[in-house]
Amino acid sequence: MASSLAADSAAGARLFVDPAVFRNSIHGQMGFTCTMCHPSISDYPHERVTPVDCGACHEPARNELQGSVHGSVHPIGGTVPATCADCHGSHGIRRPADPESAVYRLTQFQACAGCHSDPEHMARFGQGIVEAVPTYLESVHGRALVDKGLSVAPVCTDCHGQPGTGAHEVQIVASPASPMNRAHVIETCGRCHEGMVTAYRQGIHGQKLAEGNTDVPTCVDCHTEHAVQPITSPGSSVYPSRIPGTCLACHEREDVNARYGLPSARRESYLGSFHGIALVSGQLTAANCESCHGAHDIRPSSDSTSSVSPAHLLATCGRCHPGIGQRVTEGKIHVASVREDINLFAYGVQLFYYLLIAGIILFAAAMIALDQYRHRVVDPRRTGHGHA
Amino acid sequence: MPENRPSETRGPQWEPYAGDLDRTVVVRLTLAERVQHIVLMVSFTILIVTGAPLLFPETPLIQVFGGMFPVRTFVHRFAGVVLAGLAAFHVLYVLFSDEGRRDFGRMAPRLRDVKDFVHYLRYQMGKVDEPPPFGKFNPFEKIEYFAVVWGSAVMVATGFMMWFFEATLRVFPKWVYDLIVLIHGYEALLAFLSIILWHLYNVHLKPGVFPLSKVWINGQITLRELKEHHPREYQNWLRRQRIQPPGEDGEI
Repeated sequence: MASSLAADSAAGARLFVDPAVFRNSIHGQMGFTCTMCHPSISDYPHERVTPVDCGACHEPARNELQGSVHGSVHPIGGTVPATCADCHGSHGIRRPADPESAVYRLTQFQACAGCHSDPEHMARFGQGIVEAVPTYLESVHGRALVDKGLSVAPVCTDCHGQPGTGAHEVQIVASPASPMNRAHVIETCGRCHEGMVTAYRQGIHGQKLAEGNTDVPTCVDCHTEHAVQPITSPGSSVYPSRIPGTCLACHEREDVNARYGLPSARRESYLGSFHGIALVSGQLTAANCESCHGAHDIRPSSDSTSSVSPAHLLATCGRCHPGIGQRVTEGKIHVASVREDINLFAYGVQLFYYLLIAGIILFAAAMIALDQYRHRVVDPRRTGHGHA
Repeated sequence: MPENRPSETRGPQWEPYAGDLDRTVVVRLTLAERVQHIVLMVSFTILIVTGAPLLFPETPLIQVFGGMFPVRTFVHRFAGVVLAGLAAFHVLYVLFSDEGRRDFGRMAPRLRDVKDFVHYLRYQMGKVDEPPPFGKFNPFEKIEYFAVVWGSAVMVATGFMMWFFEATLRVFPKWVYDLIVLIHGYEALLAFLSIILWHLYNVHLKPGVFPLSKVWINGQITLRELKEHHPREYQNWLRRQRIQPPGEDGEI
């Protein structure tokens, strides 16, 4: 056991506590002595110190931490992933509200990134996700915090810690106790985005979620998690040009459509329409899914309060197309199959054109072949004379 | 002098014209007709380029407009208005100009077009040596002309109904609008294929003409071409030239 000061010194370890750093720490300011935290030291020189028991004074924090993913022995890593000092520092500990604190709100992500952005460190705990912090920093939340200095912007512990007690009770998202777990993510986002969550709960997705449905999307399924962007950002999953892809992630799935009796071919019927074509071609004002169906309080057309219910459809179209004829409601809006979504007459017209086009191609090919035959076989010496 | 035009189908065959068949040219398309053709060609091309990608929404073709989709829409509609204006002008041209009336008369389908077509097939196969006795417009050209008339009418009508869909949907149910969109697309495909496969081959690419006919630019063909490809019109031309006996006024 190389736990001698000489060995530490040989390894280049820091042997001395910088008095200035300690003096400016919260404990130094309160006049703590070394042995209050390091009771094993009785004389000088001393052996390596025993771990500091912060919980002796900070008992509530210790209790909170012990139940968290950070404070319990990790099943893969075999150790406790993080101790008090890993986040708060040691001799230079400041109050969290102090800008110099390692867990100061505006710079807290750096403390988290110390482990969570380190692939080797995370691999010891079976974790491959090391992009969370940089992704967060590029998100609307991260930029609000860093670029705009908005202290109300959510930081890691706002979403991952328990409301009230915050950072100490962080749980893995798979744990039902995590605020980011599917069971709680709506209320967690709603702590700031209350209006959206209220609308969501009234929509079909929110209603189904309340019934325990495991298919419907929560906030993060449409908006993403750490990467969440404002809808005005082209990178947002709910930017106009990307909304169809976001909705279709579920609504294109045959198993989902079959399970809930939803119409299929939403993709073809939208992308083949003028709205879809214009949107794909970059005309962002063209109607996307949300334009007609709504967003958070989205409801099925069978719901009389839905924006696409027969009673409201005309008004919904009229939002972009003032004065549109009321007969727009007489027929399907999403047309994927001529036969099934328009009618048999249109299907007949389609077949007529198929035959006509095939006929034109065959006739032209036959006439061209015949002409080539004449010029190559019947009368190869003649060069012909201009003009048709 | 159309009023003196002799019967195109009966009467004695005139002696072969003695002049230089390769150096004498006759007017096949008047200036007004050539201008109409060029306007049609340009507007048609613009309409195809700005419209065709919409038929293939799930291919990279749809990306060609970049962020310029509203510009595409404007250009397409502008070209459509030009085509509609051309169609209106053509109706006036056919009704009120001598050349227009005369050429439209020559476009009229006749029973002999069927015979000429059969003759043409036999000629192409080498069964007969005499070329088919086509008039100024052969049966294919007649069909093509009326296909353009019909196609333009359909495209302009459905196009305007799509443009002013708010009003369309006040009168017609949504399924009629869907049908209109369907027809507009297929009719366009039909027109495009006809031009690419049929028209371009027959006027430019076929042996003897390749690589480019200039008739659409200068409107002229030589008497030899007239004699070979439009024998009946050649005979008519000879008759028209010899209404006054040769030498009387120094001409011909």
